[in-house]
Amino acid sequence: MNYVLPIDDVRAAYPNFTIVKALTPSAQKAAFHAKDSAGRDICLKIISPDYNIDRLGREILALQKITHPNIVRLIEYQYHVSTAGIKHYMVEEFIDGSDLEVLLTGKMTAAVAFPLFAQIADGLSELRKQDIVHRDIKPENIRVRPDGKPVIIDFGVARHLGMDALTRTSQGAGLGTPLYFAPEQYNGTKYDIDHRTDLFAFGTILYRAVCGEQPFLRPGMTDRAQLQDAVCNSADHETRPDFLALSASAQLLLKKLLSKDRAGRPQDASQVAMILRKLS
Amino acid sequence: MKSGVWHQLGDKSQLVAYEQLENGVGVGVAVSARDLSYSGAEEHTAKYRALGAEIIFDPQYYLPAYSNNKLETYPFSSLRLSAQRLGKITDDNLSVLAKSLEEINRKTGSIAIVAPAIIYEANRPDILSINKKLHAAAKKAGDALGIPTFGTVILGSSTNKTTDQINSCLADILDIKADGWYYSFEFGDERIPSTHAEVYRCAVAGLTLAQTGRPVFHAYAGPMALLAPAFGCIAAGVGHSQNIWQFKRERWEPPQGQGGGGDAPSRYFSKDLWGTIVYPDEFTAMPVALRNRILCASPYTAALTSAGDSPLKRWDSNKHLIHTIATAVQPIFAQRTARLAAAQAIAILDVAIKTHADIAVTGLGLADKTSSYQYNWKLALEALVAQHKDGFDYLELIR
Repeated sequence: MNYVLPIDDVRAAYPNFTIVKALTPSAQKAAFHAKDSAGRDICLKIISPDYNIDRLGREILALQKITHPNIVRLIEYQYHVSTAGIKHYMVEEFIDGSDLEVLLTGKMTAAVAFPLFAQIADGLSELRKQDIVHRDIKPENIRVRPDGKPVIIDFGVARHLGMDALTRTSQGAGLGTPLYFAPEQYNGTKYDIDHRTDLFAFGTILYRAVCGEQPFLRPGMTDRAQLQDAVCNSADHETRPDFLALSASAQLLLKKLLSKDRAGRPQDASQVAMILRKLS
Repeated sequence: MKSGVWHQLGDKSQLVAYEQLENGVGVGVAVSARDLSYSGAEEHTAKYRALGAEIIFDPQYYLPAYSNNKLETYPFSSLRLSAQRLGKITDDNLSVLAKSLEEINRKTGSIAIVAPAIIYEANRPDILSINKKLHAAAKKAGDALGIPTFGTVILGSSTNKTTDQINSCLADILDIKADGWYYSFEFGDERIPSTHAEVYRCAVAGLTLAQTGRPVFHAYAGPMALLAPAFGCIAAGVGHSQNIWQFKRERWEPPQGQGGGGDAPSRYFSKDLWGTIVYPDEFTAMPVALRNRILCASPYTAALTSAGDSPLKRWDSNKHLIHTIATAVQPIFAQRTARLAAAQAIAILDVAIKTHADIAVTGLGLADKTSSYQYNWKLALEALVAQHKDGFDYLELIR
């Protein structure tokens, strides 16, 4: 269940911000489009009291290290206790535009998809440089600005590979969104989750964008076990007409991104970005 | 990194490498800390570089508890520890390692740091963890010098029994942020690897590394350098000594017995055999027409004729071998694609297979099992090309 706060309560509790509207919340954060005291558009994320503090630590740490056009910028983080109560929130750059999910209602042409996804790959490449695995790459976590530039958001389950103390969660491998899970998120341990896990999710979204449907989801699937089986064992997505209609190079890139085996995937998002630009 | 054949030092071959470079053979030198002292490395690499060769320095960390009097001359020698102790290596010691790698690679003018690494073994996650730490130290040195840092990947025999096992091991290794790969594969106990399945797996692992888009150096390739460009390597290390024609851990273990080879007759390496024959015994036992086919000229064997009555000195035989392999393989590295390199390597192997068949018809059995591997290498390459179409296509896509 998502963490939802009434907008009027937020207006009352956060008078320093002018709340414009509520955004899609997540399980751990209520999100609002707001303006700060200088009138700048920002994204105010109020953190649920149930939020895993270790995980939050990862998110803050991850975001603080990054300045990249395809990754959301963290402006402020506050954990403030007073007689009036606890204020626990973060302020991110407001990304105007829409979720990538909104743009995936139909099939994108390669000419539209590849330049867009090359930029997302640029963002993933920056994450790799900083030793960060997002672990929840999905269309809802990619905002597309009005000028078409995509931005990766929501590092709630990100793992910073250099921070052992913050990664010792028993459920480490299984966090994320099953629809975009890599095989190692079903079968592996947390040690198997790395930047190539994000590349698998990226491949799943790219497949959906250019083929018009999820690679592993089938009509009639009723439970997670069936999806898991398809993700871990099926190559049926390579036989669909929409896939076969792609150029041989695009097919090859998707096959590699969706390789069951991490060693078989591209090892670097910058390589993926380069290929997508070559194919654009 | 210059593409082509590099001189892999390892057995009193520093002058051989120098002479070859003077003759325009080889594009670089892989220096061995096990076989060349600190001062020797500095001295010789300056000469190699003056001849236009590139340098990499192999710290020879494979079995880190091993040491010898050459290794002891290096500042990092005190950090040659057992795997168990390396697992607990302190940050301070890693800083010492980084500094000493920076120093030796600066002095040798290396174009890339070869990261120290232990041989990868099956079911040993601790080795991955150690190698990641060692790589991070090497990376510091590389960054300080502004040169790339190559991850060292030696697939020990316990890790390379199946392609699944290799993939599983490589999946972990490839998480290391390396700028290139210094790769070798531990084969069974043969003079030259001959088992089709093993050679195939070695090639598959190399192709996987090449698909990272980072340069792959096939270390300790020896005569197998012929295959290296076909699985995507940009360079291969070749030395004259059988000890380094493949990765043999015995070199990094305490010596057993006396060793040596005594007064064994010279071996003559022929391109058309892609192997050696005993000279002059086996050579003169053949029909003259076959002798003429087998002879291949080099500056070190110019006096040899089909009569087989000229002496072949041991060191000339060594130099001839390197010259012959390098001049045959260098054009294959220049091929536009790995597929084309595979086709060219297969063509050379076809000639060798035919020549060996013609020798067999005469009833002559060659020593050293010289005819045992060419056909299997060809099969391995053909299987690689047929079964890894996507891998070859991907190499072309990222080129």
